[in-house]
Amino acid sequence: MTAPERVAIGEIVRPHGVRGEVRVRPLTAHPERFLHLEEVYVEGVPRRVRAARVAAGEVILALEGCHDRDAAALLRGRLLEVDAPRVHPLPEGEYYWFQLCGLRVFTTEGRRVGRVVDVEPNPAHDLLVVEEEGARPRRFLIPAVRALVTEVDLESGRLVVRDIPGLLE
Amino acid sequence: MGRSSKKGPYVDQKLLEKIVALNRKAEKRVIKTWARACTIVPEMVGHTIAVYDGRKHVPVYITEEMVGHKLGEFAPTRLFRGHGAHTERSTALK
Repeated sequence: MTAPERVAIGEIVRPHGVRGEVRVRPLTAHPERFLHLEEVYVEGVPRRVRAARVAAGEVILALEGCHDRDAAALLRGRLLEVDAPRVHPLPEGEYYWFQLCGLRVFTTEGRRVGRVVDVEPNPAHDLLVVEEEGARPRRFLIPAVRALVTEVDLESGRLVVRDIPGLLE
Repeated sequence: MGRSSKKGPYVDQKLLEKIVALNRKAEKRVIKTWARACTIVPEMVGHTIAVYDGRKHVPVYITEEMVGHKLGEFAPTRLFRGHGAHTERSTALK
């Protein structure tokens, strides 16, 4: 899978107050990144961020050119995006979903299993959706935990999983 | 109303027997179960249990923090697909 040009970091859910602020549902594991945001794309148009604060799991954002509630209401449902190279840096061992999608999956014995096609959120741990290659591909769910995913190599596009009986069946 | 403390937590006996047998042999394999109401006990830590969500079996890797919870809590019966766009959501390998 090719790297995306832009990455969504939030979705405007509704206007907030009467001064043109909007409430944003973060689509990032690091909502505090909004506090240092200078510019964001709204429907492909760059908009400067006037102010931002985090409140009750959501972000309240003031965008340039949006000074009253009516203007803010027009932005409802819009995605906020940043250029892909400007994504928030992650600690070691953490990967963006768009980085994982497309990786080729191998077992520790070197057998090729397929490709990661999706990542599903789960209360315990995220699940990698791996699809076999071929005419009638099967899909497997693999828990994204160190005990089962032993290696992630983004450079070579490779992910290695421990094949315990029942996992890839 | 909570379950009587006299009875202790509900643990599916067939599942527990399979886990104990694996522990005895020091083996790891995915065990399928439909017992969503089964309480997670320390014997299950480190095993992968595929819990039925009404459509498919969801593999859940059991960790210490899950002990005392029910298996069904980790296999939601509804899934919000969300946005198709590339997002900044991430996964940490723990």
